[in-house]
Amino acid sequence: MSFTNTVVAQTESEVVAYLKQLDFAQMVTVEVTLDEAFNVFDGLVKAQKVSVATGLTQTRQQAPAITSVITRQDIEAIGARDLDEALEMVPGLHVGKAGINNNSIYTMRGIHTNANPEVLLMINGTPFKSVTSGNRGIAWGGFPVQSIDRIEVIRGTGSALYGADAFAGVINVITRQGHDIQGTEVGVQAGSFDTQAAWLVHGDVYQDLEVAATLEVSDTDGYAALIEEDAQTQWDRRLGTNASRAPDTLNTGHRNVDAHLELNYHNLGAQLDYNRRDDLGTNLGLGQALDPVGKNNSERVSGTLSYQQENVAPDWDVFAKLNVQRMEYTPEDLQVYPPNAFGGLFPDGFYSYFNSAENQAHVSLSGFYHGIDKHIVRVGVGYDYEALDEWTSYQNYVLDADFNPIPLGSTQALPADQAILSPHTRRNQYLFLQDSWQLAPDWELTSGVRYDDYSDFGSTINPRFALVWDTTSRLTSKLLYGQAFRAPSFLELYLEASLLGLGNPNLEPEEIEMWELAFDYLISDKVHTAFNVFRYQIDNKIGYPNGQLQAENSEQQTGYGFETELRWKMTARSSLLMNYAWQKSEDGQGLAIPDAWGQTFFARVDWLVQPNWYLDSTLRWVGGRHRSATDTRPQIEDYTLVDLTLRRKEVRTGHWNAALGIRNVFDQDAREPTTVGIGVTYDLPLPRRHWFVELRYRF
Amino acid sequence: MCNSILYYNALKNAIYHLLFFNLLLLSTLVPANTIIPRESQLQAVFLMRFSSFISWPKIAFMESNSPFKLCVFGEHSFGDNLNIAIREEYYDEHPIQTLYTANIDDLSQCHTLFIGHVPSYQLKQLLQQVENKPILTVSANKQFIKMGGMIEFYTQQNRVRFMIHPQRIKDLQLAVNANLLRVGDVVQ
Repeated sequence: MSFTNTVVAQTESEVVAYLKQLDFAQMVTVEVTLDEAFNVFDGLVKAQKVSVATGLTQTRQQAPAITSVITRQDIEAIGARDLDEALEMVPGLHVGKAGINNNSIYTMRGIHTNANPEVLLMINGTPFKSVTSGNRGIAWGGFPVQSIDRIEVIRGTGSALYGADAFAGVINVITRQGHDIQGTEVGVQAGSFDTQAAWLVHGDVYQDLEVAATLEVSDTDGYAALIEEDAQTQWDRRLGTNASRAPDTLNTGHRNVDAHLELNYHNLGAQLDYNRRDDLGTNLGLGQALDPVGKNNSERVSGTLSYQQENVAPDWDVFAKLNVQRMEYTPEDLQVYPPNAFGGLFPDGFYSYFNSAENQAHVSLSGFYHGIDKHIVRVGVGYDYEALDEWTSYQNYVLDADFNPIPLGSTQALPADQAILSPHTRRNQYLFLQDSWQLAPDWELTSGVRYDDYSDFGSTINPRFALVWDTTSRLTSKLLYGQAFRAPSFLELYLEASLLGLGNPNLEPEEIEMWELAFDYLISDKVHTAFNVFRYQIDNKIGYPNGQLQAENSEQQTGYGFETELRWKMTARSSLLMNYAWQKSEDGQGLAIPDAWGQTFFARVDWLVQPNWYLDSTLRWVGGRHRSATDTRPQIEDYTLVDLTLRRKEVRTGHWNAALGIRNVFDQDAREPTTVGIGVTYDLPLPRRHWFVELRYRF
Repeated sequence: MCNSILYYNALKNAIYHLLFFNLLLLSTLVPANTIIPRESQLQAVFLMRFSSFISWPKIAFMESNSPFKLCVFGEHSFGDNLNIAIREEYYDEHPIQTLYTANIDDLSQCHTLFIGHVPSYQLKQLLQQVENKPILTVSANKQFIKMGGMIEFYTQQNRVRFMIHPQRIKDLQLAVNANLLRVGDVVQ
């Protein structure tokens, strides 16, 4: 017999009182909402833990940094199919798109460049970073979500713990472990742009061995937005030629394979990651001239061994990790300009690209010491080895002494001495020390410092301080200070004279100093708010002053702003999350940083429409983006995108989980900024209204 | 000034879109006034009521009116619900109290121990810690009974059920009421 709940109840007390008066046998017949179901409020406010702030697991409110956590429930609720879609819900983090290869640009607090090396991405604490380009790789192609348990994001500096490139922020993706999965799940997705995806997830605990394995594949033609005029159009105008492919569509298709295997046996852990991108379209093209011919391919293999032991000696816990990884980039036939460009000088098109391979090794040993009353001390040492081992330039031209391209007739691998970059190796050893001191029952002071010694650009010291005050049982206040650095990439350091520019081996790291004041307030059990202000200064910023081709540490940037967030459990079946961020940043001449957002707004509403039926809608608005001073185009238009996800889910019992997602519901013509000069005339279009369906089965 | 008016209007527009869209759906789809308890709310009431069906030996209490400790270890989703459930509840003369702890040394004072979301190696450790003590162990961790626990919550068709291993409970001189065994799924 099934017991139906026709009670009218509003508060938790009433629900519990109702349950208490039931006959004991009736209790097993009461239909419940499963805890695994989406709950934006309880899941995110009450039980949020982060480890990214200190290495210790702490509540988000008390962590000595401004952090956000995106859980697997969030990812499922908003129907995110990629890391980028999930990151959009972080206050003040906007995911933009670059014209070349459709790479993601994570912009926080006005710190914005197209290459975007200023935000450090880690997978389980291991950097996902190319030493050649300084960012997440030249052919990023996204990152799928089925292996993700949660994503921890620090807004602000993190170099005192994580070293280089934890500059504007840190994103740490934490994968699901065997005990999180406990079973097998298969899923398929299909949607607009001829997109298909499938995945297989398995995880369990076998005696003392915990296993988690994820395999994800996807294939898409990509959205084919029309580009009215590209860089070649502008060349054609200047030169009186007619070579441009525009108007034609963007090239955003790709095929992805991602695999993750994680084994844990007692204190030992092993992880293996594989990320492959094939036929990744060049989007606007390498030269911002549409290129349907060229394709990017990339591959990353990463293996990690770890060991942790509590009480290895009295009051000492230790954690040791060894990671090795290899990143390969093997594009084919990248056409910088189309056939017959430059008056027929290159009848088959102008080709220029390179293949590269990097090897990296990261070793670290850190320990927590809790033998001093009211202190937790963390010390760590580490060694990083990052090498560009292979580089081959492919071109159908060579440059003469005046940088004029001389046609070669066909695309050829250039001899090593003519390549625009040669193999280089970077070694770094570091030491960090951090102390969390319980000054008084309600006060905690975290101080930390990290020393890095690089083989190629010298040493850097980055301190940080965080004072956290549990002002009342509902209010936490934090004052934070941190310094961080961004390591110059090999392209910035060592690029030989080429059409791309010229490296400068004397470059020093970019440096940032940031102050933050933050408040976290639980207004009631149903309403939570957070507010923070920040101010920063960047020195030694790497740039190309006065349009020169060689990079220099000559620029400065200052900025300030705030981020605020509200979570409100409106009814037992619905919750609302909203955040808004505002920032103003400018360079040394007092000019606004181009292309960086000035304001962002995000709202998400989750409804439990019927038992097992969930409806999630999100809205994001981006505005206040400036052109560069030399760009005379009309200002960058703000945009608003609304996404909708309807899901039917029967957690654990029914095994089935099905979803329908509609993106850009109102079919807005949203655009990300493009570069002025010999670039495209208009901004980069984002996908118009599109949809997907998803079906999962859990064994 | 001109820019800020533009931003303001866009933002208003954005909020309007969101609210309009959701209100529309809310008004047409959500049935009024039925509520479905959450899994954790029902578990909280179960935890409290288990004490009505189990008898602890006298030695488990220091004094005749010392509190009955219902402990929660690890991440949990109870929020305030467990505190609400045990309010003004007694086991015999013993007022029921909750203790939320992350300290393994606290467990010896518990009468009922609910183990929340913890890694499996820690689950083992916890069970070893309370072995041979008159403590009723309860968890929703899968394979909890298999690993040596006494009551394991699970869900079926969106209903909370539990497996119970009466022999393990009896071995510790706790007495189990037959009504508890009728409602739960007995595991031997």
